[in-house]
Amino acid sequence: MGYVRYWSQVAGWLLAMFAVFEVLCRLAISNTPEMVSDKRFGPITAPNHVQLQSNEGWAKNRTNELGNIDAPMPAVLPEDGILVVGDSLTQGDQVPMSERYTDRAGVLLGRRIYNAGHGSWSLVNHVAFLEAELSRYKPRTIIVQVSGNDLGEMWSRGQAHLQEKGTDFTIAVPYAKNSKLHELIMTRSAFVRRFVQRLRATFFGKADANDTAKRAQVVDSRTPRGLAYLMLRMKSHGILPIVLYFPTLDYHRGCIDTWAEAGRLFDDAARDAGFVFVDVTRDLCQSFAKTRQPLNGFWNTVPGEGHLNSAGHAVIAQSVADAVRRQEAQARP
Amino acid sequence: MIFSSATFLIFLVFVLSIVAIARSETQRRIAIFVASLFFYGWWDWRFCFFLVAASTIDYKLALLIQQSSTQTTKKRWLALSLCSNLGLLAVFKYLGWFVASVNEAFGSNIPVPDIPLPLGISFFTFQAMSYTIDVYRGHFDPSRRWFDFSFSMSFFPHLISGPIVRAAHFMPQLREPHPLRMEDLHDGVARFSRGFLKKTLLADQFAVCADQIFADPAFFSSPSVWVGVFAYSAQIYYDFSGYTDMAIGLARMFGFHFPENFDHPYLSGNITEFWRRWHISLSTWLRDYLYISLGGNRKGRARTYLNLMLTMLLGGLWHGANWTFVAWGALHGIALAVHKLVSERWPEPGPLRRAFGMPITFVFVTLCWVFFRSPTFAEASVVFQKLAFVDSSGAEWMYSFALSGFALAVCSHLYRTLTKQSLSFNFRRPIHVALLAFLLTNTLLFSRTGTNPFIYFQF
Repeated sequence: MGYVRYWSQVAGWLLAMFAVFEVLCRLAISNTPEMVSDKRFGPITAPNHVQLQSNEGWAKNRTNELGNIDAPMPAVLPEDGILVVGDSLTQGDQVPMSERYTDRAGVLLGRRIYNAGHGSWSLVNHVAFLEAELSRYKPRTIIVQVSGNDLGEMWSRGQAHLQEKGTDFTIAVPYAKNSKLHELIMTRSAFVRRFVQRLRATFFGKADANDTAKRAQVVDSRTPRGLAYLMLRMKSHGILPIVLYFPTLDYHRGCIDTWAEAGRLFDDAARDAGFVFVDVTRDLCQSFAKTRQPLNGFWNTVPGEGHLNSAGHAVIAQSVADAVRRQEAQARP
Repeated sequence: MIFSSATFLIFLVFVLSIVAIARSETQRRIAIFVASLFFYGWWDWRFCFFLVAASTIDYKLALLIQQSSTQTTKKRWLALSLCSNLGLLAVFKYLGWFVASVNEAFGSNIPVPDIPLPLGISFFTFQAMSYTIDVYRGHFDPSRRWFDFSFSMSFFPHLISGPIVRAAHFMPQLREPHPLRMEDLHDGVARFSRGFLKKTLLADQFAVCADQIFADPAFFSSPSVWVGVFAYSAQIYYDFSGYTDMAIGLARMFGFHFPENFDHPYLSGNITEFWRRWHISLSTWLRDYLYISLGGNRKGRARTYLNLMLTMLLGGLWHGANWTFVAWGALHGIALAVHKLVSERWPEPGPLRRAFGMPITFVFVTLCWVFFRSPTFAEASVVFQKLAFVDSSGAEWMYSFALSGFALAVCSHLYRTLTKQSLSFNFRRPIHVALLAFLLTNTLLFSRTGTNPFIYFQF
């Protein structure tokens, strides 16, 4: 067989196999959402798009017109709406939409809960965009979900972070706009998105200093002051949010928060600002003691690690509903 | 430098390039020898001296055995060779364990020496012993050149985890020149790729499941522990046979042939057949140099069973300095003796024995791996309690990648049963090149990041 003919046959077969991959990625195994640039928020997940998540569990969800994995926005905003901002745990990464704690709590309370969870966003992002979010949703109650991840990300230069300015802080939101070519390639092929994401994880994953800090659970000495600053910024918008803390649980050691210090820091900062602080550690651990099923982790990953699973969301939904009722009862004259 | 790591692949390309531009056989051999020492020294450079010294001693002793005029002197030199090799194993591998066992048994407080274990020590000492024993038995003339023997001992494809390549198999190959040949490269790369995929696509995925389950078996439910135990059974096979494929492929790239080490052992109909198909280079070594030396089956029935037990106990201990390995060896020894007894009474296996032999053998071997994998009897006992549904509650976890790995493993074994052939690449066919690229991409996309060491590196 001629050299050219041989290699053209190899290329042909490869193309056919990658086409199969592309179809598979679109139907079952894609986990990298398509991103688009938003003038106010920077890169967000594409609006009105189906998202397949398969890294840990398996979920097929759809983004609404705002690019959030959430039900479509109502034509007229209800007066008693509840807005939840948070990271991928709130976004309900890897679980179907209806099983997320926000959607379940909405059913328990009989009210619309807007899920504005964004994977990899931190408390700094939420504070930076709070005004824009409030004007969009006009909620009666706002819940800010935090976890140990937020502490490391507060100082991470690759994303929205705090900068010291004398004794005070400012918020910096770096926003590198991707090239047209990059967006074209990344939006057209689910396979390429997955491939690029994996290459990045393989070759640059370990170089992420923020990730290392998170793993080591190191708290920066500026963090307590930084948290106090963020709470004050939220208060300046005239709102009293519920700060919802998600622990980093180790189920193998009898269900303990391995980064309990993070919980204490958020608790102190929230109480100093006069906010309600909700720690779901006890609820999750009680459920674990009863069922012996970890509330994090899926069949594609290690049990007890990673995102909240459906059972975890169910437990938190109850805690959230109770907290909202409590807060609103206290606020009533 | 693990065969499945990027560092090793760069190293391999570099060594192949040097060998390709070398002008003579001597230059090629020197290049490979230096590369082998570099490969070994990558973990700890001090062990290179250790390896060279061990080779030199056996080279010299083999010559002395041959030159001796009387049987008594030959025996003395052989005893010295065995003592030096077993002594190395005793000091580096078993001393710490022995002292710890004495402390535990007698409540003494003797300080436990913390000696670093040279990689592959179990493999190259066995290789060296087979060399001097073969020379003593007159099966083989010793090498006249120190370099040839040291080359055969240190040749990097088999240095760390075998297969145990006997001098009688390898040394004659050194008489022929080995220029890089396209055909060898082609076959070598195809075999290496097969091993690479076995390791990354299957063994490493099974490892995720097995590692979790064996790290905390009490945490998981009984069905999950069963999955974990089967995952370990699959992991150890694909890990070790993947390594062997890579070693055989690497040797082939340089023009050398290694013996086969695995032949679909989980398709065995009984335990004796299993040991003819599993880690063949070790089992034949144990048969030829231990079982037969103990008298084999020539000294009556009782002695045959005793010899089988002793051989398997030592075979277990060879794997690691731990009583759990001894228990693993003992279980296999008992099974071999029972099978021998049954075969003697009913030599022709009936249809029932044929039908149930394979699953029973597989489950037995899998359950024995529990001792092999567990660091202590207490932990093995927790696993067995879970397997027996004594306390079946716990986290339910059916790791999806392990389940798909099982499906792949079953398919490849079915293919072997139906066609009597193993799945392999043939790069003369374009679809095979594309398939390899496709599978490598698949591995990159779905496997865990990082490189996992091979299980047999610890032995």
